[in-house]
Amino acid sequence: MSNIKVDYEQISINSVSSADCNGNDFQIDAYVIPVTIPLDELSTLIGNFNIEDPNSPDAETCLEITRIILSALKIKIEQG
Amino acid sequence: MAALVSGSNEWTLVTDVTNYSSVDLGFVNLTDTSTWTKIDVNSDIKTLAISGSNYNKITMNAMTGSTNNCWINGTVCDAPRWHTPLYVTDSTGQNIRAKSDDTLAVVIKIERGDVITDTWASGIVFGICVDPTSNTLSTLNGAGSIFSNTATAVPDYGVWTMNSATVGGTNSATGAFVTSILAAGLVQSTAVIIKSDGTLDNKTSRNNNSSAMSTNQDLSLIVGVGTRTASDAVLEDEDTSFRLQYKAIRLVSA
Repeated sequence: MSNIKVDYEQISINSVSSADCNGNDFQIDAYVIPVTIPLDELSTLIGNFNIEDPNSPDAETCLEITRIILSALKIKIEQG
Repeated sequence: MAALVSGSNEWTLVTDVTNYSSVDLGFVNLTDTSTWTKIDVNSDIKTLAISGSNYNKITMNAMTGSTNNCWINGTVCDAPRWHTPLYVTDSTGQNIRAKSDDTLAVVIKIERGDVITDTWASGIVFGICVDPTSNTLSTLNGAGSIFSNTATAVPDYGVWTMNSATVGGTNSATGAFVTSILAAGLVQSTAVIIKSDGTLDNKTSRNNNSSAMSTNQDLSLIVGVGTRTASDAVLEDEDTSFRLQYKAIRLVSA
């Protein structure tokens, strides 16, 4: 069971102008959701991830992280 | 006790050089050419005037959509800007040039005006920087406040960090107080966005993505006029207006 969490109280709606991890500039109106990834999970998380493999990460990891983020987003939207 | 102090080639009557518990913010008047120097390499500024209560009203020449016209994207920006040396008072009341080694608190109030005929998707930055003449954003190394708006919407207000920004606000937002702290050569800023009656509209902040400034660098204030995004263009005679207030305080600690 992962301890990856969303810092729910810090979710905000902002317009962000920045660059992504590939150096591509973007400007977008968005929910900004801080995700905290425990340091002691890094070796497992990154060790099992192949950036070149379109099927990586595995479905279980995808589902877990996606559900953490989408759950926080859904609750935030519903709470207004 | 009041004191008459000199510095920056002028005498100033300082009522209390040690008590900063209640101080006025000073207005930015870009038409004051004895204070503010304009750099407009592409002749993007058509006219500048003071309008209403200390609003700087700017009418533009046409400007293409380009990263170079946007202050918060990419690596290069040659959009028009005004700059002035940043002075603070030392413990004796003397005006001294603020340096990158200093610890400074800079408080800014930024507001877009409402007397605008036909605005564009704009991005206006106001803050402190190292080299206001540079077109390389990392060399210019600016940080502070920003408002940005589409051609039809109420602006969002927030924090400018070198070549990026985070802004927020509802349709009721009319301005923001942005506080920047300079320490160890890095500027960190946070914004409280307000409504016309002074009540809270929103808030935002953003970590500065720039490197720490080199030591002993003279600091300047800078006002940059550009586009909201790299793809936004400006048509001739589109305009904007904004009111900027600030106070910079040099902090001394053990």
